[in-house]
Amino acid sequence: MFFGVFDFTFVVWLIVGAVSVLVVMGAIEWFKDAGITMSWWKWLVSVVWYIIFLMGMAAPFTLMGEGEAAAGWKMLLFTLPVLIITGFAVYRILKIGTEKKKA
Amino acid sequence: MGDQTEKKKLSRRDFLKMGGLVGVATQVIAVPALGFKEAASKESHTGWESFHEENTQFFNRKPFELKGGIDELYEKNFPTTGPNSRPNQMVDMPFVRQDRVMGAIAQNPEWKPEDGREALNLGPDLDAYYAHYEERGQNRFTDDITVPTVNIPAWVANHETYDDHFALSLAYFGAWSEHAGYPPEITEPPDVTDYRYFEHGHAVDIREVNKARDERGMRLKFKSPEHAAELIKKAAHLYGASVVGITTMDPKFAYSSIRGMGPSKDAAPVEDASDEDAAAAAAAAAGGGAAPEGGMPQMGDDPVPEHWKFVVVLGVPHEWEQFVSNPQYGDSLDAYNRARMAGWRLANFVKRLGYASRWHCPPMSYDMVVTPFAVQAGIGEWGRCACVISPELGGNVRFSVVTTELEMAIDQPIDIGVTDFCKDCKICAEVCPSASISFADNTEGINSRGIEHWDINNSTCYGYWMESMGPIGCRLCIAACPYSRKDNWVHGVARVLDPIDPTGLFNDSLIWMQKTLFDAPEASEYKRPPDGCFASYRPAPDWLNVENWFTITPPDPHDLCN
Repeated sequence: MFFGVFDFTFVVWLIVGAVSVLVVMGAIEWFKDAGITMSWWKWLVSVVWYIIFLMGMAAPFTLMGEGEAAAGWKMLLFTLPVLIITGFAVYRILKIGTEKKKA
Repeated sequence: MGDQTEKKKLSRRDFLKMGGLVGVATQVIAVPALGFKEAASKESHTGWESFHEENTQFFNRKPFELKGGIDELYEKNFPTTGPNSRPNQMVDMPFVRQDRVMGAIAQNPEWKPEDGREALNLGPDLDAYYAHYEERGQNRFTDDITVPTVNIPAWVANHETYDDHFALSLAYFGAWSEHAGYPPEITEPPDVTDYRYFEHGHAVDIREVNKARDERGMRLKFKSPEHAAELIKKAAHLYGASVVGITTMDPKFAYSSIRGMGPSKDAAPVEDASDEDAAAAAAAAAGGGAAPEGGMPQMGDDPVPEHWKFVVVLGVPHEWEQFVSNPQYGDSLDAYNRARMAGWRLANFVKRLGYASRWHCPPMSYDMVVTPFAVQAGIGEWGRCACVISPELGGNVRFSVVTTELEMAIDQPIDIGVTDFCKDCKICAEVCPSASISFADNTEGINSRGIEHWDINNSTCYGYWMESMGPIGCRLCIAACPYSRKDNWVHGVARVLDPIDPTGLFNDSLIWMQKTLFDAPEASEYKRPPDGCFASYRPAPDWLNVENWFTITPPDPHDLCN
């Protein structure tokens, strides 16, 4: 609620949706900088990983919100390293075709 | 000029790159924050969102319905192991059973436990009951006499010490109990009560109403059974039910004594226990009866009314904050009384449409065992703790029932994987302070009244009710059940993915996560001192903590654990 009369949640979701455009536009430029040539399946892998990343970050805080703080922190300690490691793995996958082209 | 263009391009790229990072940062902060906010919202308290069906009964059961319906349910999950017999309140209910045993002990003051139960001449129904469980390795007779002789005296002493700490819980649930007996118990036979409602204090016979409507050609006949089911479910939700299902009547689950019928109202004591025939006759009059060969004894054996063709099952959850603070701070009375009102209202609604109906409501105003009907109606599955586990509410659900002649489209039983989950999970058995829940890998050898199914030792279970502090009861098994979770997206994902995963990997992952992430006191910690310290599954909610509201600092039994 905002000033007790407005549910701010809707606006936050609106912002989250709007900045997705920035995320995609920025990603295109970052991939160009890294010399990564994106194909449809690479975009698919990236988007899926990113959604899992956001869900993996949101899940522990959801548990904390429902009053299971200990479970939330434990989950965060587990999911964060997993997400980072899989992030590196995804990055390696995105580089696959690029390295061949360079050679 | 060329340099300027290049600078502009670089600037745009940098802007997009920085914008992308800002976007990611925004989402990484906002999405978890939204998850936190959603979970903290009271709207995630399943069953308390509103009384509209789409809010409380949100799980799509259609894909999980058993194609073979009720027949497949019993063939697959509840195989018949012997002759069926109807449940008997005089032996099945631990409170009633213990009263009878203690009455027999009072009549035999010389009796000592080493004399054995046979020396008490309890009657053929109780003897058959205890013998059945002795075959299964349970001495329920000893468990039953432990409650009044050991547990209750200790319970009284502990209440004297610790009641002030639970003053708010006791007051809150005490207020719920004020109308536990309303509407008043049915004392007349179904042929009378099921056809009668009251309008401004005057009794109205629906047969007369229907006759008048027939004369006008205005009898309220439904367009189809589907129309009837839809309207009845709509009304049930609006009357307070969170989940509703419809099934058909199966007389084998009706109590052998129907309210307002039979001889059980004139229960007679066993006058001459040495005369076997006289004892059997007296026991039969008291609600006992001869056991069918290989089965459990009958009570009054009242006929199940023919107009009880359909069964509407209404489920209501406990308030979630106090529910997770069981066994010490919670009680059953909130959900019991909401369910009671919902069932009573619905039965009266159906009668006013011109169809005979009867309410069956908590705490003890039933003419049947409800669990099989709730399972048949697709509300949930029969869990290890012998409770119905529903996809929306887990084990946090209490039922009322309306039996009626109104023909409705029935719901099918479902398979959402609870049966398989329970085989591996065993969390309820692990937390149970009275060890009343089986650790067996499956239900083989666990049966009652000729049907194999999970059941609990209700003697030791009731024994713990008479041990816990605060309001009466336990409910720990359903509070700890991984299915008893609120309505937020994390549990929503689990609800959707678990039933459709054919590999069982998701099932195993959920059990692992539940046991690894969610801490809970050891089973012994819930017990009374010196074995435990009256632990709760989760701390009391702030609003039930007396020290938050009052100027007192009463002795806290949980300090015993520190």
